[in-house]
Amino acid sequence: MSNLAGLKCKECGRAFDPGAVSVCDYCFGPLEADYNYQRASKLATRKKIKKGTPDIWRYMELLPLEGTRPVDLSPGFTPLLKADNLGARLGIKNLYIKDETVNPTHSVKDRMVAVAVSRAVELGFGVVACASTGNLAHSLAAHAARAGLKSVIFVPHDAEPAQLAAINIYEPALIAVKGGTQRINALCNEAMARERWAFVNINLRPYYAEGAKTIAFEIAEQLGWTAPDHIVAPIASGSTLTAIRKGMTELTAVEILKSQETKLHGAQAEGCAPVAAAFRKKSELIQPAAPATLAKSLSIGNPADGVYALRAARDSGGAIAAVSDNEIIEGMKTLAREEGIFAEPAGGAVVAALKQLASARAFKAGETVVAVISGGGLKAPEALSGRLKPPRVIEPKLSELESFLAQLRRAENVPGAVDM
Amino acid sequence: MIRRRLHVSMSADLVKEPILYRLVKEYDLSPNVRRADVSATEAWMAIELQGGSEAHIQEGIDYLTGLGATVKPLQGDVVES
Repeated sequence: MSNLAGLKCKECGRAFDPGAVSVCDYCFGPLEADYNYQRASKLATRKKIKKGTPDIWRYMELLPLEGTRPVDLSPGFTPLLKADNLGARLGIKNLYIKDETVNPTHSVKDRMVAVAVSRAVELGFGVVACASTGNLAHSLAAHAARAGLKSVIFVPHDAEPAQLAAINIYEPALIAVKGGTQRINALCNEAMARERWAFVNINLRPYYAEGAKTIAFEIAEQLGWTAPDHIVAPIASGSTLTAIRKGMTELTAVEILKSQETKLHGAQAEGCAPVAAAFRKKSELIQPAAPATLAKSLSIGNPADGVYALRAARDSGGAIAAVSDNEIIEGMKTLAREEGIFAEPAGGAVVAALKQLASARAFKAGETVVAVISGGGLKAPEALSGRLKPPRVIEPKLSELESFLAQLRRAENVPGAVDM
Repeated sequence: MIRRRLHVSMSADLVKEPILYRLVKEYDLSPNVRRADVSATEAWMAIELQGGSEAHIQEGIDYLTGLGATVKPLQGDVVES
């Protein structure tokens, strides 16, 4: 028996049956999954969770599924790495990285898609769909393949080639749409009205969003069931930060944590920072932006959950940073150099935001800070084009190698042999 | 009839403008306000705009943006990362 009570409007609180619906038809507020927390508190215990599988399904008591076997590529339970090198560089003693690059399709989207596609199966859909610049599409194509469902995926006609290959290998119906985001939005809405498809981030959005809250559950569990003082995550549609807030709140609702006062911080690219702008202006209004940043995974000009991400940061005492493309690239390089993690530009934005927040003394000495690195860099290599030192090309001769090594020693001022 | 769900926001100086009245009388549209907030500095409303055609609704949107209001689809971008 599931703990899912139904769906509830985030704005007016009206209750809805847990079907393929995402908007309150009274006030147009978004719907979210609601649970019988009293019942869940008896079932979602630390002991039971510890015995669960090492993935998001260990938190099944707080996921919006009704009992069928989930569509499973085993997402989640990603490493929480103590980042001492990066921490020393940024002046943050207790810094951790939640490394989402190791998910099945190398991004945080796997958590959300796994839940949404599982729910699509429960609701009897035969076709799943999405519109995406990359990570969501990649994850959906993989999960649909695993579930034996057909998938229809809309991508912008100028999507990055590496992302397209990662999507296409699963053989979805892949449709590259000409025109900007507005046109794709309109086309998808018309298609959804006509076809019986489970659009995972539209009509299944209440379930899709729930997958991301498992990040909060894992962070708390991996810290020995304590809430960190700060979590820093990227903001694109805003759903991840919003879900992390819900996850932290639910841990107290089911009495796994007695209390939590985690400050939630967001990172956006300056070239697409509608939520950061509203935060700075102390406004509740998210003014749409025309994206102009190399961080394609952050290029959401009219974020669906922008206002909720804004509230998550503001109400928790956090902040939202906007960082430049140069800072993003520098953040990617720093993360790779200091911690051995190759992140997509959104990860670089989080590192740059950490730096900005640390400079502004947002973190007190000894506080625990967790940075969510949302996806792997191999999917967006174009962002680094011309930004890295090219390899030195030599003839296969020892003399040329020695000459190169000598230059390296001089450049790095390292006496003796370079340990390669 | 065509329906569009929109988020319309504006600065406080625009709240004196009878925009709903004009949408009805001059653009022959039927705006249905579902949620709204007006403060000393800004105002917004979530509306459903009903009209005879897409072009018809677009005229109403152009009127609002011409006044300096920001009009965006209520649900946000469908395209995600």
